[in-house]
Amino acid sequence: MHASLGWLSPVPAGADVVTLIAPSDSGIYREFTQAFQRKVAALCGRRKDLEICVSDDSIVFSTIGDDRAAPATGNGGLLIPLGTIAAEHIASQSDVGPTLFALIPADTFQRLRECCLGLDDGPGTAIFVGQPVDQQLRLIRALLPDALRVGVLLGPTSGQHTDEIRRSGERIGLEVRIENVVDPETIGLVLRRMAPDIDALLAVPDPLIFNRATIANILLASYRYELPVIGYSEALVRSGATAAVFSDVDQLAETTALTVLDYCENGVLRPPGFPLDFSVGVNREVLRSLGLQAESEDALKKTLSEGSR
Amino acid sequence: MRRELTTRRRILLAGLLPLVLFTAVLAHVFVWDRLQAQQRSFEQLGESYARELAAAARYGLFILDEAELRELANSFIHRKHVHGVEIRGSGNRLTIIEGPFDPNGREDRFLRSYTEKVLPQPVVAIEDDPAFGVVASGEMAALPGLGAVTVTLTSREARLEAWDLILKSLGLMLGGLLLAAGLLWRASLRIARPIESITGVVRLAADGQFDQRAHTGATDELARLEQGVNAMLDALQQHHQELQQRIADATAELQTRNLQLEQARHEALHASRAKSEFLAHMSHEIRTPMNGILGFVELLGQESLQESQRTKVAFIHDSARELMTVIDQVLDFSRIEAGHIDLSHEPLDIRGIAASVCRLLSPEAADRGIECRLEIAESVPALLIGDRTRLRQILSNLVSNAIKYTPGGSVDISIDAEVLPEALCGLTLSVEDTGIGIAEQDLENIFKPFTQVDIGDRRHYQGTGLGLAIVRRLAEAMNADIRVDSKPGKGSRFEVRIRLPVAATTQPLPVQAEHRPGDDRLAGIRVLAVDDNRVNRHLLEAMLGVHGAEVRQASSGMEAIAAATRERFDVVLMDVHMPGMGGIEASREIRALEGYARVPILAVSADAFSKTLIEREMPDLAGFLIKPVEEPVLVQAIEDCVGPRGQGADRPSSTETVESATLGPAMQVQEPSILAMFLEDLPAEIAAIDAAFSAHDWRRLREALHRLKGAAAVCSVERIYASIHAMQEAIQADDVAAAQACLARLHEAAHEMTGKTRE
Repeated sequence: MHASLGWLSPVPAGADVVTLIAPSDSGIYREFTQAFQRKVAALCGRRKDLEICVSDDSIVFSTIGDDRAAPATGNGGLLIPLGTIAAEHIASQSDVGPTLFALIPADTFQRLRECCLGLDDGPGTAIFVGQPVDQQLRLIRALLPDALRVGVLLGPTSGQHTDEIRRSGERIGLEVRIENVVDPETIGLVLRRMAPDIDALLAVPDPLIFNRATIANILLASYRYELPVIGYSEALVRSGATAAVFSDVDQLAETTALTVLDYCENGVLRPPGFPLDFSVGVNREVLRSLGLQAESEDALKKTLSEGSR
Repeated sequence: MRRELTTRRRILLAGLLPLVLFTAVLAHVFVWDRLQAQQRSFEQLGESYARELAAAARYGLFILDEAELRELANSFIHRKHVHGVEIRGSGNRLTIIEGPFDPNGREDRFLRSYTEKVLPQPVVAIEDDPAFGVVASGEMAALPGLGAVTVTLTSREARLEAWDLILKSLGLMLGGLLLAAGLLWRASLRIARPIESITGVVRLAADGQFDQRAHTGATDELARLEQGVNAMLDALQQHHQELQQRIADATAELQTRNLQLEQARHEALHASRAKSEFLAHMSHEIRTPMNGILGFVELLGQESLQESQRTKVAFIHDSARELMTVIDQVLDFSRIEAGHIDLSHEPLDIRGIAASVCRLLSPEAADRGIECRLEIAESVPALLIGDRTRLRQILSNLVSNAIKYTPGGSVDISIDAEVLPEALCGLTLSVEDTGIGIAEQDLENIFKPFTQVDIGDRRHYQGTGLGLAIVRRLAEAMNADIRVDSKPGKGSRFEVRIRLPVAATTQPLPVQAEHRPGDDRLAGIRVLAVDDNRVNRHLLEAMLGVHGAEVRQASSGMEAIAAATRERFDVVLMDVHMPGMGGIEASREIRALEGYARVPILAVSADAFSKTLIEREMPDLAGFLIKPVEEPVLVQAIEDCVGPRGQGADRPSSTETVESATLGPAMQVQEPSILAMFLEDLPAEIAAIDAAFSAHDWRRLREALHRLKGAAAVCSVERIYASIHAMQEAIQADDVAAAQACLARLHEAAHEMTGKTRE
């Protein structure tokens, strides 16, 4: 059975296969693919209402440059590029069929849309990594009830969310102080200047500011200034951030599987969005070093879930 | 010159040389390694400082906190070897320099800078996070730098530490070498001392000391060497002892042989002495009876005899003289062969000697119808120094030989002389005859003893064949040259050339004259006859009394001295061997008496061989007479001493000593009165011998035997003489038993003698 994937148009169920395209078949791509297959199988088995379901044979994994990726383009099947590289590869090609961009940041998807895919009438949708900034602000509020001022470092990529972040803060009752960083070498200087005026630092995904080269120094500086850092990934928590709200691979794969099954069922792709499920991570050592206390991760997730409703 | 190394030095050299090399190499390697390590450590320290500073400055550079970075730099500036610190932010946003001068300056060669880029600390964990690894993989490729840090170090202290390290290493090396040298020295002593000990023992063994052993105290190979050397020394000592024993045995055997040889030599000397004594005794024993025969024949010839009886007496006399001549030649040759040629060096008158020989042999020549002529050259010195007796014998033998082998014609005696330097005279004595001559092939044999050439009628030329042999022996003893030229049938010429010193006195001596018995030629001459034997004294008195001499007797030396003190004598006849005071001592005492300084003393002895010894003891003796003394010899000797008196007063005296063998017929005084006197004294003499023998008084026994022996010789009592002689030899050999036997034979002979006399 072949699932027929369509792009905002009805597609006969089971007409085509689902092709996952990744830069490599290792690491997070393999992990995601396996999780996706498990989720599809689990959903097919659990949801009896699905008349057509995607079998394992219909899920094809291909890497960029592999011949198996060719039939997946333009033949009515659903393409799922994994990550930014695969997304840029698919976006650069013409006559691309229905595409579900997975493992891609929201800003990246937006950039591809603007440059290549077309804006609102583009052929694809996406499942963003991470969680919306509201969730992070809610987590600040949950962890630091007394916090009033939240600092945010925004780069060229994330700068477009300045208003959105500021509005979200206002909704939650937090004063958001935003500093735009153009030169990455001035991140520390900016942070040092901003530190006395804020109670917590909100980390927003931006490759210029938060990357593997800067995270350690940002976290170290925040720690020295006794600023809790609320991140957006589990890796940040492990690296020294105080806490983070994020979606893991299973949660991403599950949302992706639901989207695929909906597409197979309805022939319509859901609009781009964050994963439905999320997790909260807390670095207890850092929390204790900063003299803070926090509920359990589940309790915090529940708080966040309740807040988001 | 290359000097040999001792074992100790070799061990030290062998041990120290590699040790020094090894230590030097090791020290060099160690020091070099340490210096390299120090250099690496220095480099690593600089790099470590830079890395540490970079890591420490990462946060400060990230937040661009100048105060914090300066504090950081200041904290590094005080670290060891740090000279300067520079922290520079990327894009020259920040520059912090700490230090005395610009760390970029490279003027100082001791400064070295280490720069480290300050990179952000990557967080690898986000690679697996979908929010990073998936989304921003492209952006994560490059890591922007935060800046750079430079740490400048100075190596001054490191250099000082390096020098300190070198000095300490050298000190340790030298200390180790000294310690090793000390240990090696001790080890070399432990090795060399046993070797030296063993070497010393071996050296001692080489010098013949085998009793030393090596005791090194070693327990290793040297101990085995010591055992081997000691075992070798044991063997050597054993061999040495065996060799010593063999040498001792050989030495003992050699000593035994030497003793045997000495014994043999002693026996040979004894035999030689016995031979000499035998010759002397033979001379005495043979000539004594011959003298008796001649004497009595001459006495018989003076009596009134018939013509036929006188002819027979003349034959007896000639035969006796011939026999006497033969005996004298045999005895002379025997004495010469026995080595008894003692040449004297005294003034001699060669003219007188030649004339005497000519005069004595002229009668014999006349009897054979031969004319005997004497010719003496003017150049012949009056007095020469030499042995006049031997010269006379040479000349006498040559003349006698010429007369014997000359049937008719003449015998010419010529004396010539050649003056030589250094007061020497080349004297030539020649005797030429017109005899039968000698064949050329026989010329070499004529001087051999007992040899006569082959001649036709041997009955006319009888003889001993010793005359020329004696001449040759005497000539050789005098270093004289003897030649002979002869032609058979023509005659012969014998020539003797001899070199003699010329005496200071050159007055020629007159030719001796003949004498006749029974004259008064000694009239008025007072003679002291000294002899312990009464018979001898009376014989001397009888012989001299015939010629008119006044004779006084003395039986001992003391008696002679007393007589000389009481009375003045013209001549003293001194028996040499007397009991008590001997003749020599008595002569010295008499010579010391007043008026006797120039009185001639004639020695009288029965021992012909003691002449030289006696002349040596008494150099001023007037002459030496051999018992039994013949009357003519005795008279001539006295005449020679005091000059002729009476009928022979015009004849000159001669100072030379004469021997009876060379003179004409002598008168032997052996009258019955003397024999009776001997027999009268014989019992007393035998009793004295018995008493001395019983008392073992050997000195008195020898005196008694000598006294009786002299009397027995004069009286020709042969058996008594032989018994006494045998007894003297037994006493000389300390053979008492033999002496006892001889004494018994003496008693028998005496008994027989007295029995015959009574009959």
